[in-house]
Amino acid sequence: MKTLNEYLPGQKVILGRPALFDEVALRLAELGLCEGATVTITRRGPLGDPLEVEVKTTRICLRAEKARQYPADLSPAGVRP
Amino acid sequence: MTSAPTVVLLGNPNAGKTTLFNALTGLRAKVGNYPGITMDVRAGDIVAGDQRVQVIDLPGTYSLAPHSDDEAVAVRVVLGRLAPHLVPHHIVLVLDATHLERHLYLAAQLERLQIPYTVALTMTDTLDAEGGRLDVAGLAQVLGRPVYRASGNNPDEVQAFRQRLLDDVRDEPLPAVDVTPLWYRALVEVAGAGDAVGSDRPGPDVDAAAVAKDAVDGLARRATEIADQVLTMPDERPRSERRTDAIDRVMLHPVAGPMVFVVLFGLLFQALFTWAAPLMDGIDLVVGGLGELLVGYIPDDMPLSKSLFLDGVVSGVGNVLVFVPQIAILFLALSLLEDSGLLARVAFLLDRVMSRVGLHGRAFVPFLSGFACAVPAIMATRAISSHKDRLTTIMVTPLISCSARLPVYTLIIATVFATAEPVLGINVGTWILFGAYGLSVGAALAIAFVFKRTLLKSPVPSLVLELPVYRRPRLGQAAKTAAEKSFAFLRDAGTIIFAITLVLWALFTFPRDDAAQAQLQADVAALDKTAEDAEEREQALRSAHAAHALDHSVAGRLGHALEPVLSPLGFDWKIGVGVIASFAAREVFVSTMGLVYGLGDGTDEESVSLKHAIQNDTYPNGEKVYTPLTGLSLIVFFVLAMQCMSTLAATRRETRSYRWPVFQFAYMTALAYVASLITFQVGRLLGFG
Ligand SMILES: Nc1nc2c(ncn2[C@@H]2O[C@H](COP(=O)(O)OP(=O)(O)O)[C@@H](O)[C@H]2O)c(=O)[nH]1
Repeated sequence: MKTLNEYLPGQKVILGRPALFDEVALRLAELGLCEGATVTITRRGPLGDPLEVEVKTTRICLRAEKARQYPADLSPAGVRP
Repeated sequence: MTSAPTVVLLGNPNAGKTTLFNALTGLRAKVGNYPGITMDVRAGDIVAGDQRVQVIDLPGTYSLAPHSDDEAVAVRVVLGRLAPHLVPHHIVLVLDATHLERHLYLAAQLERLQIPYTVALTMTDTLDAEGGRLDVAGLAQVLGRPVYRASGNNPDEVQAFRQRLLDDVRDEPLPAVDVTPLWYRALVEVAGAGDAVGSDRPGPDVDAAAVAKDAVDGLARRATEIADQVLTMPDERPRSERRTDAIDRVMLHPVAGPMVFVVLFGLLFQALFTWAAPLMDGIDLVVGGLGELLVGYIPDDMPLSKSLFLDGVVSGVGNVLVFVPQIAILFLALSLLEDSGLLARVAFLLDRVMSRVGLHGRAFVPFLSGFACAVPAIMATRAISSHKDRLTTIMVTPLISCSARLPVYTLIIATVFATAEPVLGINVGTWILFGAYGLSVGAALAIAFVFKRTLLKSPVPSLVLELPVYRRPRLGQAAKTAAEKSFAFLRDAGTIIFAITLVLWALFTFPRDDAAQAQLQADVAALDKTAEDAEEREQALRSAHAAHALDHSVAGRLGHALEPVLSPLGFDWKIGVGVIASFAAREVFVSTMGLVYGLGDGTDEESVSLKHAIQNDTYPNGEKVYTPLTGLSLIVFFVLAMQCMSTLAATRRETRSYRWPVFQFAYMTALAYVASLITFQVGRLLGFG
């Protein structure tokens, strides 16, 4: 299965269960990146890191290294125009 | 602090707490000091008739399981565990109506911990404008708590909310919160700031991560459930979000973004470096002028009192006040950047670079400000939420070459390198300046790297960062922050700076040589007042006396006593005296050299006679005191040494301890000494000097 880190800006995905539920994962969950949440990848920082995603009009940055721990499926809602 | 009932404002960062706080309390707010915490907590009063309520603006937090030190402060206050006199009587949960679902996560936590609270809804103006509909009564019903609209920028809502607070607040503090439920202990454990909360750790047989994950999922579901019941949003994307998308397409663009920030911070830097200068000169002028005016009231036959007043008291006041323009400008700019949402974008763009050193993107602002002055820069470390990262940043910020070092570099370059041949077509002075700045930045980053892995060992901060929607910042609020910071500095650091100025004055004044003083009086009296060069000759006599008095003073003797320690660096006793004097402020080195060389008071780095005096100074054996190698060694020393009492006072204020400033002084002095020693000795071995 692909991870959150492998999707492209503009794509909408559904988050799976993170490989490691640590402090960072907890904070992300508190901001809305829970298992089952629908997340849009918005952009990447200079040189590809960090990653900006949006969940329910909240924009959140996380490092690519963390994004790799989240399995993610393309959402049926597809791509945001 | 007082016996008035305490209301605390709890909420996510950017929920509008500060705006609401300011609207509720007006200009009566003050920044409070609490034992055991190193951040400012703002407290203000609401007064109506003989009723008084104290309102506290807590640091923003996303959760009651704190992840950082400033979140821990908020949580400890809410749980009534920060300080006995800071137990809340009433908790106000500030919720941003335009991001209701996420903000309701805190409500779900409060609910599950059975903590009573009142909701203040902010940003309702934006919600209304964007066509969102929020059922306030419904929300109150689902939560089972009072809910009020209270946007900080709506005077009617604020007025009504203030009245509700006065009505609802009770005299007795809230009961102690039960922090024993396993789900909460698991959250606290995973969040990692458990010691601050003081709850028991989950036992070894509990999978804390799994329990915590289930707990968050449950709380988030509850938040969604509530939001779905009371909030309807139009289908189209809200205007504020679309505006944010548009701005971010530029600000976070891999090429355009950094360019815009370079311009923005260039402006800030310019303001700190250049635009603050006239204000600082103005303060010098006014304080000095008032001093001159007042000193007239001290009788002429009391020279010691005059000197104490002018060189001690007046210059002490001046030494404190000069920092105000830079502090005010920096905090004005920072709070505009922060409130608009721009500062969070800086962390996004700079994360790659700063995380290499092991610091958060937010450490960038203190580093940049450090080029102007370490004092406001150290105060700006507030934005760094991890205590150890903040300490690391405070420790290394004074290594960044501040503007007070420039006159020293300039003087040295202009005297010992004036005649050097250009290298690669570029002036040697330029190379040296370039090297000095390079050394300072390199040293700051290297020392930060070392501290982060040893003394202040802590994980590289995880970049989990919310990028808030852009909002138009309020100048009034920013001005208020700037004023508060300035006053806090005057109050907390001012006394120390003032006291050290007096000590330095005493070091440079005592013991006095009464015989020489009498001789000076006699010589001046004997001058032929009608001769056309009478004034110059009197000046010469006075300057020569000043040099003698300095030599005679404790500071002069210290300089001589330090000579054996300093000579391996290539410094003579006069430089030793200059180094001692520059503790008041680095640029004082220049005027002190003027005094030592008998050129009188008030010489600056452009002074031709000072340059000549330095160039022609020789040791008794005829060797020149200032060789290019000495100059280089002296510059290295000034780059690295902690020659600034005001920075130490700022460190003392921000760390609330004397240990850290003492450590800072010790390590920087040691570093400077060793580096200068190596420079001079290696240079000699290579045949320079
Ligand atoms: N439109 C609108 N903006 C607000 C309101 N309250 C605060 N703001 C803005 O939101 C931003 C963050 O507010 P602030 O009070 O600093 O939030 P804090 O981080 O919770 O203290 C600032 O730019 C404020 O001007 C409000 O009720 N309506």
